[in-house]
Amino acid sequence: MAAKERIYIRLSRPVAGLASYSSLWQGPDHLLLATSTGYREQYQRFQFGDIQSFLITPSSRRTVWTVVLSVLSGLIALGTLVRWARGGSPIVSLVLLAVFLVPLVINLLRGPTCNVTLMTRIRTVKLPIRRRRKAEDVLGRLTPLIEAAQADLVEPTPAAVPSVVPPNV
Amino acid sequence: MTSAPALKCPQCRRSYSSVDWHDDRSGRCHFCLTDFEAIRFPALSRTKPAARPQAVVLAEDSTCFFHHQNQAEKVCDGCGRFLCAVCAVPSSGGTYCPACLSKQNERSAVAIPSRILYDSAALSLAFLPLLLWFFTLFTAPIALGLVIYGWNKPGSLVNGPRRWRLALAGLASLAQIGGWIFILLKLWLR
Repeated sequence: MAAKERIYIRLSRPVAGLASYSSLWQGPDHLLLATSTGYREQYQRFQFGDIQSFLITPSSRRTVWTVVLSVLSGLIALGTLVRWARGGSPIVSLVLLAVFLVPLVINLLRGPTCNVTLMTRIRTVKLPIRRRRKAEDVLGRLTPLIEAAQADLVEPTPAAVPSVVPPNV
Repeated sequence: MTSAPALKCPQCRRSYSSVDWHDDRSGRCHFCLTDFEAIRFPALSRTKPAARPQAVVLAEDSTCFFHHQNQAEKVCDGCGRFLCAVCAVPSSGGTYCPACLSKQNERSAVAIPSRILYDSAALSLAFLPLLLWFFTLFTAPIALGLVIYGWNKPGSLVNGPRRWRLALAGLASLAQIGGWIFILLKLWLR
């Protein structure tokens, strides 16, 4: 029964929020946003037929992390050099340097960061997608599905307005 | 230039105006100067066709089970009742009446609003209190209870039930309970 229930395909890995983490999943006819606190998982569904648009805006997350990790790596590298010049063993410092240098390289390799917002007629939700490359991949996958689901939509007809009778003069 | 008054800038929440657009896909909000790229779909300007039921004209016309004044146009794939255009709800590739749709949603994974993750709760209760080991006297039995209670529960909708986590939490809590029994027996027999 459990295996039968798994109808979702993962679109994004969990992204941490303030006290929870969210991930995005593709369902048969909808998009599922799963938000977990660790003990409880809540689900928001967006039918493909209701999605009006995705907005992608650039974010400075990558730059901020690059600056923070570069400064820390630079300071540790300096400390390592000083220690090495004084004849001390630089092994501990090198391990510490790797702790900051590896995330820095990963951050640079993963490409620019962005925010992706999903809009429907009644709500606007920020999606747990943080990288531009991932956004293009996910939206490229979803666009044909959404367009197919919206193929039978029609131009709205104006609601019948009661005719205004001019007052008798 | 394209106008799309329905789109709002996610940064400043103001509607984009026609001057914000560079082409039909990208632009810059002139209030907060945030660049944006928009992927727009027909739902932005179009709607689903409104369901308009046909009134019964002849006495021989089949009528909707729920609205006797409306002509039947579809048959419910769940219960086989005749339905008018208002009552026929397309769902999961079929057509259902509201009653069958409600029953279907109770059973279906695509309508579950939330799930409790017994595996995560049990795992946290089994391992996190080890940092303050004295608390395991209370948390280990609770973790074991969660393992037993949650064993047959469905688990995460997207990740499925992760029984290995429950098993790990069960083993850890049993070990802790065993440890406490050993300590308490040793103190008692001293």
